[in-house]
Amino acid sequence: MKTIQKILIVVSLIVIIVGLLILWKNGLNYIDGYSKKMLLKTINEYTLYVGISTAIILLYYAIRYFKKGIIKVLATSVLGMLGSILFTLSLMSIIQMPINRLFFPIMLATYVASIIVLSASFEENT
Amino acid sequence: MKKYKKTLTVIIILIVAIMMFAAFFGVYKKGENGEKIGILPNLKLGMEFGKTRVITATVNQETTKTIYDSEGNIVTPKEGEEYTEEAGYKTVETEINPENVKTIENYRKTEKIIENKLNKNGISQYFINIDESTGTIEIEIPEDDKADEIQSIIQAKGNFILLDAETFELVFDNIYFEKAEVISRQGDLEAGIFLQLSFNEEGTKRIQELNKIYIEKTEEKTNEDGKTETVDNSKTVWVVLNGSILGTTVLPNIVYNDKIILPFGISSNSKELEEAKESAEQAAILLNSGTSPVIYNYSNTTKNTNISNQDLLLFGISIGIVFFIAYIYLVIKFKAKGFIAVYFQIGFLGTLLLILRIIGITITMEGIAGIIVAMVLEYIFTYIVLRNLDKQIEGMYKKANLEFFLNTLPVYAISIIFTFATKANINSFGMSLFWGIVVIYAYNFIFTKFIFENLSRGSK
Repeated sequence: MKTIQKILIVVSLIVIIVGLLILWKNGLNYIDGYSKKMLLKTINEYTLYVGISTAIILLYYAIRYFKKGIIKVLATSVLGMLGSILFTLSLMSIIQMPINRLFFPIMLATYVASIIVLSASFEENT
Repeated sequence: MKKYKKTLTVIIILIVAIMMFAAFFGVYKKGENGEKIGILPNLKLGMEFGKTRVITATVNQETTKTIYDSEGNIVTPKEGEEYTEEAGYKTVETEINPENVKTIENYRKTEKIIENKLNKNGISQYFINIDESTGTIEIEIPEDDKADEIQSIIQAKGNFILLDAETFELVFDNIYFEKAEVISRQGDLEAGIFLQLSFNEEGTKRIQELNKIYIEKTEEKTNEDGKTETVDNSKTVWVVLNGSILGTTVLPNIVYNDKIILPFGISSNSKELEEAKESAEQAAILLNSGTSPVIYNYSNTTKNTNISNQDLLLFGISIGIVFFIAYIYLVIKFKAKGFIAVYFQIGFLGTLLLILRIIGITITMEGIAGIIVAMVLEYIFTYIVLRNLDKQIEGMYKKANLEFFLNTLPVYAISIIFTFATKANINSFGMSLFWGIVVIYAYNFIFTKFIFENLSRGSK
């Protein structure tokens, strides 16, 4: 793995750890009448669709890139998707970004972007 | 390049320009009074971009007064009269919502009932928030021509009761109710839409008992002239459904196999039957949603917008800057081809917005995220094509298509699955991404393929 990639991973991990610590201590900066309860409720609504999509995508990756090792591909995919979501959440927490109804569009875009990057990365090395 | 290819290139550029113009500025015609009338349908925006109605349900804290006389009988108060303790009267104040009803569990139950009513009536745009400490529920819906109808659905109480037609005594309570279904029956000439009500075990027994009491009865009486005449001595009930009195009847008219069947429409006209079915379904949804154990007071206010213009501007500028940098990169890397590509990128956005307008998809903030993702995918496709063009790869377009397809296939799964969501925000993301992907393939095949292939041949 290149040095730059290693540095980026280390920086991302630091951001995630710091961000999650701040999130645990202070929570998110809710505005415009938005609350933690509304956030959790909306997450609940998304769970089914994100869950099904992720399951199908992981199955596709496992089948298409089985030569690279199914466990390696699945682990990279899960870490990639989860890492990008946590990174975005941590950034929001660190900069105390005002959280309103823009939260979910940003998270959706992050989720899709992580999948595009993962696909491109797997395809490049095929 | 041959003359026809140059002509075709100009035509393609003009068509894309017209589509951009139509999408960003609209197409208008002159009305009868000289005013501008838009030909294209407007983009349907989500409720966060416009006015919303906030319906607030607060727990009723009032009390009812019941006056008892010295014998313990309930007294109907008359105006102008005083009912004092000295006169032997006793006034008892009862809370409309006793303390044992005002629990978090009951508040959550009410929230669930309201959500059920909204979901089952196909209302996809709403926000619901509950303050568990006070039981106050806030429901936010779009302030449009359906707002009044939605508010009445929220406030309506689903119940079915029978009252004795003479004494108005409650003979059949809503506690026996189990399920409501809409059924249709086809006759020789007409069809009928009915609401079938099923009851629990106790309710079924009660219906069987009442079915023997509230029946048609006739008696033969001798009148003053000595003639015998038949007198109707039937016992009837008032049928009350969802707070509305449907009428009086004897029970055998509506009871079949221990279930109650209420007619909603009998006709040979399909439009009338459709309306009857809709009405019956709304009644069924109300009954099946249940009755809130807590009594609420309702009020509403209008809210201007949830996302301020400043937020939208900031969001727009941030996205704009990112795409601007990306397009500058294309121009620097691929020079003239990059510049042409940027023109067609903007053309793609115009085409996508045009398609979304015509199809009538509701664009929420999530929908805008879907459009942005589609634009990113279009950028990736264009980049692959230009890179192949630069390397002068044989079968440039076909290879670019395949590479793009394999790199973005998982995203198609997301777009398709999200289109099945009933909530407007999730569905909007799926639909805008789905149509974005469809337009990428169609738009590039129809317009940019010819341009880039000719650029490739022209450079050779």
